[in-house]
Amino acid sequence: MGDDWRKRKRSKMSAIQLNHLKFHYTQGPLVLDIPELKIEQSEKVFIHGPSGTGKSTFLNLVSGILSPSQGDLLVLNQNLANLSAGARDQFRGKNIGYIFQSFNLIPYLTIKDNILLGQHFRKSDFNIEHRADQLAKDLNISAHYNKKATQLSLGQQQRVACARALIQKPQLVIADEPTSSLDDKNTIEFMNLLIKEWEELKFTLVFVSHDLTLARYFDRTIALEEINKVVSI
Amino acid sequence: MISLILKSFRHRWVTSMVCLLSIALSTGLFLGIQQIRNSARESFTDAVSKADLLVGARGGSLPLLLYSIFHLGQPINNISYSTFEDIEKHPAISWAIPYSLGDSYHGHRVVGTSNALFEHYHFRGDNKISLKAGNYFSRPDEVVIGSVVAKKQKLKVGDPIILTHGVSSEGIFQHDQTPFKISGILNSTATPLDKALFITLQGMELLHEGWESGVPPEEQTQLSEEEMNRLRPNQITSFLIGLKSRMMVLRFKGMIDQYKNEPLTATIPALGLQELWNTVGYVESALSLISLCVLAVGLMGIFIALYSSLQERRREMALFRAVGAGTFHIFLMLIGEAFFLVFMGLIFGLALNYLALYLINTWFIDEFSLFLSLKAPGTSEFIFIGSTLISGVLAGTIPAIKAYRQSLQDGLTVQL
Ligand SMILES: Nc1ncnc2c1ncn2[C@@H]1O[C@H](COP(=O)(O)OP(=O)(O)O)[C@@H](O)[C@H]1O
Ligand SMILES: [Mg+2]
Repeated sequence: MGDDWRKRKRSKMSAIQLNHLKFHYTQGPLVLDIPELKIEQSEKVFIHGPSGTGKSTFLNLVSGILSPSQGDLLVLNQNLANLSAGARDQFRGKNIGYIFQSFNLIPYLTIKDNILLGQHFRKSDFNIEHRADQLAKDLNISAHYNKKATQLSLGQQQRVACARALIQKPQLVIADEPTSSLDDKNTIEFMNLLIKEWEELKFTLVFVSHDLTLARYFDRTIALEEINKVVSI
Repeated sequence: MISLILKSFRHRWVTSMVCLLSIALSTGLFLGIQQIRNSARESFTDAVSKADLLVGARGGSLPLLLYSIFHLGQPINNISYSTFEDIEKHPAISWAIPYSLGDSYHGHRVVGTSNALFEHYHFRGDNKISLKAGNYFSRPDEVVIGSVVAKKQKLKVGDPIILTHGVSSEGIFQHDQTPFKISGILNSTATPLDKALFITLQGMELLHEGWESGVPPEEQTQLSEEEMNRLRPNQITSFLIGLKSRMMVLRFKGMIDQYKNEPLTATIPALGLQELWNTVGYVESALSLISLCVLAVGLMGIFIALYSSLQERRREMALFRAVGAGTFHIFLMLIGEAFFLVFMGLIFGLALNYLALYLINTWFIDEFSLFLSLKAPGTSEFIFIGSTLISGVLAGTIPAIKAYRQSLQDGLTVQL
């Protein structure tokens, strides 16, 4: 597994590739109209933009929850439009790690159960518990391993979310404003740990935030309003 | 995913428990009523078999049956012994067992009867009375006792006992004058026979010798055996008859109902019991209806609990979806939760049912000397269980569909 990313790099396939993508919610106005975008494997991309410009919508498209109204969207070289809804769910569970802004954890589950949440919907992997232990150590949350999610501070909760997103060694990690509810100290700690994990796993990282100071952690910065032709108010 | 449902259930345990308990309660109640009814009917029906007619003074056939066979309530009128002798002689009759009631021993009925009881009384199909120890009575001052009486009063063959006038447990007058001797103890029959004492009809007269004025005689009456045998019973309470041919039953019943010398009632035991079931039937239906209402409350509770939890679950659903759950998983989880609630409710209900039956049984044996057999759930129980499960799943369907739609719409971004 360790040299997976190198193989990926060699194959030169892109992580996300879209062509003339248009999207609107049913009976809603056009939210996204992106002529072209390409994100390479193992690239760390920072996406920013005012709220309401469709950042989350874009992430929902990439993770196969929503389907484009027009145009092509390839994720990890897979045209999601060619997959059934169930196959898209499986694809997401296997290949994509997702971190939300807040409420990342199921309150009545322990930290361990939260990290392993995806196992309920994925093929089981007998090494996974060991890996959960390891991730908890890496992310400084192993002391709380068997506590309920509600007993943790926000900073700790976001690190648990990070562990949950990384547990299945996804090729793509999506973070939708994961630091918006954190203070500076926790934000820095979160970013450092995330980048440290990236160093090890070299997943493609798509990170959305409106905090431009975070751009320095990334290879590339994209302003959504620049690539999106839909003019928002 | 099942463990996930369990944990979600634990999280919402207060509302979940309320639903679960009301389903358990209704299940327990509903199945309990069915089972008690069935086995009560069975044990009542089993208490007497192969008897064609029960004859007593003119009156209701149900009371006649209750006091003669089940030793419940008091006989009001007696019939004369000569009537019994007259009918007994009839060529259509195969056997007749007289009953003379009205006395008790420590709350147990004393039954004046004849050896015909031991010879011809049947219960639970083909079973007949048999002796555990000693002999059947052969003298008017001998008594044969039921197994429960022997056990409770710690009596053994040869013990002298004093019988009481009246049927309350503290007799108003003690028949101190005439001690009886226990000649035999019966084997347990699981019928009211176990709780009774049996003496001869002469013995019954002996018991009341000198009581014509209604109070105990002042002087000690010690009769010789000869004098005892000369005693002639005057009255009996009722008698049970077996006919030579079953085909005769209705004609014979008509004959007895029109008996010239005395107004009589004849009843077919099974029909008399039917009258009892009809009376009790209203109560049963009412209780069944109540238990179905409780069930409806439980199912509605599941529906409401699931439905109202949907809003607070939206983020949970988004999380599940983010880690790979499809909308169908979300649907299944809610259905699963409803199913689990009903399933557990049914399990608890069954446990409750059997516990209650066990407790009721001890009381039932004590009170009526009838046993309720604890049976494994039968067809009607399985129909109840099955339809409850289906209703539970149906109760979960609407919330599940709503959750499905909701998670389809929300995707990963929940806008609250
Ligand atoms: N589930 C939805 N149904 C309909 N419209 C939506 C939905 N989610 C978002 N929108 C609309 O799409 C636009 C983009 O929203 P969003 O992607 O959440 O933006 P951002 O994440 O950049 O703040 C907004 O105008 C929002 O109202
Ligand atoms: Mg957003």
